[in-house]
Formats: sequence, structure tokens, C-alpha cells
Amino acid sequence: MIPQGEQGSADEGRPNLPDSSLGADRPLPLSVRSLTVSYDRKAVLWNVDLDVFAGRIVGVVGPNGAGKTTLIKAIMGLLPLQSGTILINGKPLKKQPGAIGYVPQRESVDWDFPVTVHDVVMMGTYGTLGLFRRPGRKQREICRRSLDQVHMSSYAHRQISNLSGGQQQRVFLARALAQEADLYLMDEPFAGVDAATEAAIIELLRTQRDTGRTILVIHHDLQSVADYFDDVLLLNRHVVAYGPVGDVFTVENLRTTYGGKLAVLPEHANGET
Amino acid sequence: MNAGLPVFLSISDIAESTGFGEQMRRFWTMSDPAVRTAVAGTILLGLTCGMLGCFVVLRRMSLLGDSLGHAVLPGVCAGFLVTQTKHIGWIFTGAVLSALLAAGVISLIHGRTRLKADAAMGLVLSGFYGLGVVMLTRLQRLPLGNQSGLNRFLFGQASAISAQELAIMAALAGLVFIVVLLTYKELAATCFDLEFATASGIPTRAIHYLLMLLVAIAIVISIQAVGIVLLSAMLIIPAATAHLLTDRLKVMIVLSMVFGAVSGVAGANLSFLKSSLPTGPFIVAVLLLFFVLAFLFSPRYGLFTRLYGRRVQRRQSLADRIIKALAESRSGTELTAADLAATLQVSQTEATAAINMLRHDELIEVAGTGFRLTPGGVEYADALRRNERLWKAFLEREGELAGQLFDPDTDDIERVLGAEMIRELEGGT
Repeated sequence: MIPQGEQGSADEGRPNLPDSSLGADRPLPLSVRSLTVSYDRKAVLWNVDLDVFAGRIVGVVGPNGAGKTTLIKAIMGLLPLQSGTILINGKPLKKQPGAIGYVPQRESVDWDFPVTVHDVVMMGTYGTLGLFRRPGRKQREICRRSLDQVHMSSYAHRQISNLSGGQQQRVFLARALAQEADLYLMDEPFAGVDAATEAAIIELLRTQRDTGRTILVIHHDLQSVADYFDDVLLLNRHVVAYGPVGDVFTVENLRTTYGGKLAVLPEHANGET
Repeated sequence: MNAGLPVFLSISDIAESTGFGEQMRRFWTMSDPAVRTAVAGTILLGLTCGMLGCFVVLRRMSLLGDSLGHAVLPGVCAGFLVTQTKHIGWIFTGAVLSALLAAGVISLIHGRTRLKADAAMGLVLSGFYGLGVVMLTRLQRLPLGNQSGLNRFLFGQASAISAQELAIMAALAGLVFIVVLLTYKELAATCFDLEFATASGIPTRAIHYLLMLLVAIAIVISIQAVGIVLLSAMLIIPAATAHLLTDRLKVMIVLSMVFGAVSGVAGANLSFLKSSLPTGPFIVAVLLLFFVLAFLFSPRYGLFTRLYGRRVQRRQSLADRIIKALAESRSGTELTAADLAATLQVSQTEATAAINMLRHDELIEVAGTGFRLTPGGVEYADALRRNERLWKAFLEREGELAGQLFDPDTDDIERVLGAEMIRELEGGT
């Protein structure tokens, strides 16, 4: 385990749950009730309840096969549900297509596809643009701004196969930003990127959160959970624990989540070992 | 079935006896209305298939195109059975329905069983085609069957396209163009990232079935001239060729359409030279020629281009190292080719090739038994050293230049670093 010297101030990022009186009149960005998803009659997610509050960065953590990707795909309506309801801003997603911004895993697409960085980011605007409408000045402006935010403007007209892993990840982030959604789901945005890019991405996520957006991030590196996230969802087929990092990210909860599979415990987890 | 492909319409027959040159002249002057129809028809189908083929190939559905292409045969036969004549409207309708049914069965098997897409497509392809061949055999035993001309649907006969059929083809092709123009962004987005497109609210399922329908129409347009057996080539090869040549989707589509149209006309021309030659195989032969050329010589992805480029690069970097080695030993004695090969740990042949290149550029010259730098070579060596220094400086300061993007392939390092920083570095050494 790598000791992390100057990290004593981890407390300052530790959030409190928002005032319930404050959010009472506004529907939650994401509310999941008794969600069960199964493949071939085998339940991958079982009875998941989840309320995500506005303006939070939520880490989704759990072992391989815990159903993390399944959860976000189910939220986006990409998978058939066996049971349960999912409300986005108090309404089903079907009534408001494009309400969720999505950053898939990088390997999910063919990077030899003949498009430029600009084209890919532009695709973020297609959903809300509607059928038969062609992107115009407004969409180009959104696209330019999104590329600026991830510092990829000078790559706009590069073909996507000429990008490094970190750059590909930033293109996906820019495409998600171009969706201009209130709720973002990200599938391992930090996988395979270098430290500088990782820092830039988390900075970007924080900026987005501070404007009131809500972000769910699937994450694998337990060491950085306490630094990066406001809330954490410990998932292993069902919700093991969910809440502010300070309350939930404990050694005991991690043990329950990972079973015997967790060899090294992160330093920032609370509770005695 | 392959033996004795019947001859349809007689343009080729009439001129059987006349020579090759005469036939070429007849084709290219297009005085014969049948030739005009054939050329217009193959251009239309080439453009349509070339355009749709791009989406098919990029969505990794090439095998689906193949399956649908073969699956139209039972529909064609059924269309014939309904009317007992070669009424093209019915045959086209039968073909479209048959292709759509095949597409539906494929998604059903793929979606509802544990079988993967390739198995589902293989199943449907062989099943439908087999059924079609059985129907065809039965049809030929019918009194009307022999004149039905159904055989030509197997390998295609461009000269068999009638004016009425051409009108239908043109209408269908026009429809496909308009629909693709209207749904271009949805088609592109679905091809690139299906899940993201779905999540962002694009009706991807509808788009998928729309693409299936368009492909079925393109297939129907092509049956007459290309034939069922080789239909998928028309969808796959032009698009695959174009994919090797460009990094822009729109350019790829245009190139693919051009390849489709040109090979369509060329194939029609070749099959016209002698009677009873089917058109389909010739179109495919021309398409393959384009593909092989692109595969070998594509400016960026060609096999030869890359091998040659790598060789040039290797020799250039070896030449640079020779210049550096000579520059370092400038004060001492000249180095021979053998010395250079030994110091740089390369074979003597490689060293000699690089040395010859440098001598040709007058950067080095013979001195005694070995070589030394010319004044030009000394200058070049200085430039090399300077570049190296700038590179190092760039890498050291990359952290603070985080916003600065640099591409060693295209950018000039001096421009990237800026005059000020270069002065600073020059002063520092």
C-alpha cells in the first residue's frame, strides 16, 4: 500500500447529506425502487433501492460482477427490468429522452470509426435535437464549449484513432457534457488514464457538481474514494451500504461488500482494522 | 444451376458475331437504348448499395447484408408464382418481404435464444437460400417456368433491365437517398455507439429496422443486374474499400458510392462483350480490383505504403545517427563504412545504403578510406543537436506546458515551444 503523506485534510471534502427541507419541493434527480435485473433468470441486481440527491458526486464501488454496469444501464433503460421503478427528476426516462448523460467504458466503441473528435462530441447533442433536424450553430457552440472544458479544442478535427487513452476518455466526457443533462452516469472514467488526466477529470466533475449537476461514477480504486466522492454506494448485487463517504466508507462495510476478496484495505476507510 | 446460364434480351446476341472493338463501341456510344438502360441501372444500384454499405460495414453487419441478399430468393420465386409471369412489381414485393422476414427471424433467434448473431445469420442465410433453390427447381418444371427467366436472378444480367424496371429502380433509389439524407445523423450515431445513442434518446430500434428496410430495397434494386449470389459484395466491398482510404464518414460514403457506380458500369460493359456472360461476377471482379489496390496502396493504411514508409523512416534515422557519429569524431580520423556499422550496431548493407543516401545529398564525402562531413553535413549535424536539445527541454517542461498540445508528426517543435523559450534554452547552453 502506498502511504499518502499530506492527505490529513480528507475531512474537508466530507459532505453532509443535504437539508431535507431544502430539496423537499424538487424531485430527486434519481430515485430507484426495488429494482431487480436478471440475465437468464439469474438475478444480477436484486431489490435495489437508491435515492440520489442533487449536486452530489456518487461513487459506485463493488467487486467484479457486482452489477455496477448493469445498474447504470438499467437506469438508462438499456436493459429490461424484471421489477422495480426508476424515476429521473420524478418522471420515467421514457417521458424525457436524453435526460441522462452517459460516459461508457472506452472499449465499448471502435476507435477506427471514420469520425473526428468534433463529430463524436456533436453526437452528444443529437438526442435532444430530435429526428430529421440537422445540428446548427447552437449545437456547434455547445460542442466547442464542451471540448474547451476538457482541453481538447485543438484536437477537434483529429480522427479519433490518433488519440491516446486519456484523450479518448476526455472526448467521451466532452460528448457527455454536450448532452447538457442534469444527471450523469459514468462507467469507470478513470480506467487507464494517467494521473494528470485523472486530476483534470475529477476537477471537471467537481465543477459540474457545483453547478447543481449530479454524477454517478463507477470506480475501482478504493484509495481515492474518500477524496473523490461525496457519497458512496457499496454494491454487491444488492445495496450493501449507501450514504455520505464519511459514514459509509468503513472497513466493516467494505468487508461485507467484497467478502474475502479484499486483500488490501484503503487507508481512508473509517474504523479500526 | 450454374451451367448454361440462359441468355436474356438479345442485345448481346445480335452482335455475337461482330468483334470486340465493335461491341465496345456499341456500349460506349450508348446508341442502343438497352445499353443505356443497363448503364443507368447499374449506376443507380452502385450508388445505392455504396451508400448503404457504409452503414452496414460500420455497424459490423456485413454478414447480415449477405444473409438478406440470399434470403430474397424465396420471395422472388413466390412473386413469380403469384402471377405466373415475370411481373417485376410482384417479384420486387416478394423480395422485400422475404428480406424483411429474414431480418425479423434473425433478430428473433438472436434476441430470444442463447445463439449469437453469427449463428442466427448463418442459419437464416442457408435456410432461406435453400428454400429458394427448391422453389426455383420446382418452378422450372412448370410449363411457364422455362421462360420465366428466374435463373438470371442468381448471377444477374444488366442487359435484362427493362425501361419499366428502370423507372421502379430509380424511384426506389431516390427514396433511399432521401431517407438517408433525413436520418444521416441518427444512422451515423447508431453505427458509432449504439448504447450511447439509445441512452441519449435516439430511437435506435426504429433506426435499425429502417436500415434493414433500406438494405432490403437496395438488394431488390440490385437483384436484376448483380444477382442474388453475389449481392452482398455490392454492399460490402465498396464500403470496405472506401474505409481503407479515408477517415471521414462523409468522404467514405461518397467514395463508396463512386466505387459502386464505376464497377457497376464496368461489369455491365465486360459482360456485354460476349453473350451469355452474367453481369454479377464481373461487377464483383472490378470491385475486388479496387479493393486490392486500396489494400496495397492506400496512402495511410496500405500494406506497401506502410512497409515502404517504415523502411524510409528506418534509413532516415540511421542516416541521422551516422551524421552524429561522424560529427563526434570530426577532430579525429575519418570513419569507414565498417566502423560506422560496428559503432551503430547495424549490418554493413544497411550502413552502406544510408551512407549512399547521405553522399547523394552531399552531407558526407569520401576522405581517404572513410567518410567525413561536408560543410553542409556539419550544418545538418548542428541542426540535429539543436533539435535534440529542444526535445529534451520540451519533455522536461511538459508538465507546465500541459495546455500545450504537440504532435511530433506534424508540428514543428520550434513553433510549439515558441521563440522566447528557445532563446532561453539557447542562452542556457
